[in-house]
Amino acid sequence: MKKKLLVCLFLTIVLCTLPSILYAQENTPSPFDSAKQLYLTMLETYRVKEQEFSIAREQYAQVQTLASLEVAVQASKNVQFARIDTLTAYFNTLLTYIANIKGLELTKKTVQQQAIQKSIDDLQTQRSEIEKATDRIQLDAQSAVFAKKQESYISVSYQTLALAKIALYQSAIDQLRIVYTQLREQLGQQNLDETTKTIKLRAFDEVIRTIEEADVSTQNAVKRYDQLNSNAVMNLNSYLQVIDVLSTGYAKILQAESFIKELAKQ
Amino acid sequence: MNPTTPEIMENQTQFAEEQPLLEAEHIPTSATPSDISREKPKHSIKKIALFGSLAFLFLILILAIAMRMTMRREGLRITELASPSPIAEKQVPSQLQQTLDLLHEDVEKADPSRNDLPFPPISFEIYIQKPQR
Repeated sequence: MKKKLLVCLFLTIVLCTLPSILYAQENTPSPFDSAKQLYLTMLETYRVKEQEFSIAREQYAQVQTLASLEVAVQASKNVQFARIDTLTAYFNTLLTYIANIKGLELTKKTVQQQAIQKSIDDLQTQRSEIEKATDRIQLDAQSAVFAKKQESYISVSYQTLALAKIALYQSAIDQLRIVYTQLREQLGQQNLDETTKTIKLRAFDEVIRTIEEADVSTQNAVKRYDQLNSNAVMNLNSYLQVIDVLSTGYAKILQAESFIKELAKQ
Repeated sequence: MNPTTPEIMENQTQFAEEQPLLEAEHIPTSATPSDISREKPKHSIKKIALFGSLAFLFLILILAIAMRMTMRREGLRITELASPSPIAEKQVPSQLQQTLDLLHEDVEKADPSRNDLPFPPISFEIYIQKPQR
């Protein structure tokens, strides 16, 4: 009897865990989600290490003992590791992000992926240098090397984000055209009287006009991006200039979407 | 076996300690045949109930997973009922609805004000003793 109960219990456990295993398989996160989650975890760790470093540095500045210096040296090493790990995770997230974006020109995508990978490799080299550092002078020197690369890392980041946003914008316009074409073809198959057909055709003309107006912003944004990228390194300011150009056309995208939903329901 | 039991006292031809050669010795038990027959159904009822409940539980779980997978494939959404309008609106076919949903996702992602990955807020000034410039 005991054996039978044990067998029943074992079967119950297996039967209960099997659906949860299937559910977990169905809900496996995408590479982008995994990379982003790792980046957010690293960022949290960095914040903690930065706090610890601030305290240790203050302590050393106040007491000026060898013991407090040793604590500050270790805290500096930890925070510099955390900083590099955070930036590495961030760039890995950007890599997976642009890998999956539709509408991004292949040449520009390849160039950008190479730039991101170069930054990641550079960060790993710096990490090995920090590992070798043993005292305050060496660690501060490594931090100074890192500080010099600030512009370069920020530029790679905002180049990627600007290109991605232009591609997503273009992708939305392409999708609008696809749906417009489908609905237009359906109109041809419907048996409508002349008046109704004329009204609907006018509506479709308005939709395509709106889409074309939105598309003008894409071309302007690409020009602006090329201008900014060739003159100087990209930063938050230049990224926002590209965004401004896209924003003027985004209202037209929303309007075109609204028109299409209206036509789909008729 | 007690030599003074009534069954033994009646049989005067057999010795008390003699046992029949070919018959197995019957040891009387406390349970009566009617008790044994009553226990068997109880025992089997318990088994049936146990297996039945396990099978039912398994069935419920499989149904729940199947429903969830079906809902995901069809991309069903619960929409609110619109307020009555003077023009009668047709139901959008589900394939077209899926296309419209994809369009909406693309339009949302294209929002210029949305930035899912801003540059991380890290400090570039981490010095134990800041260098003098």
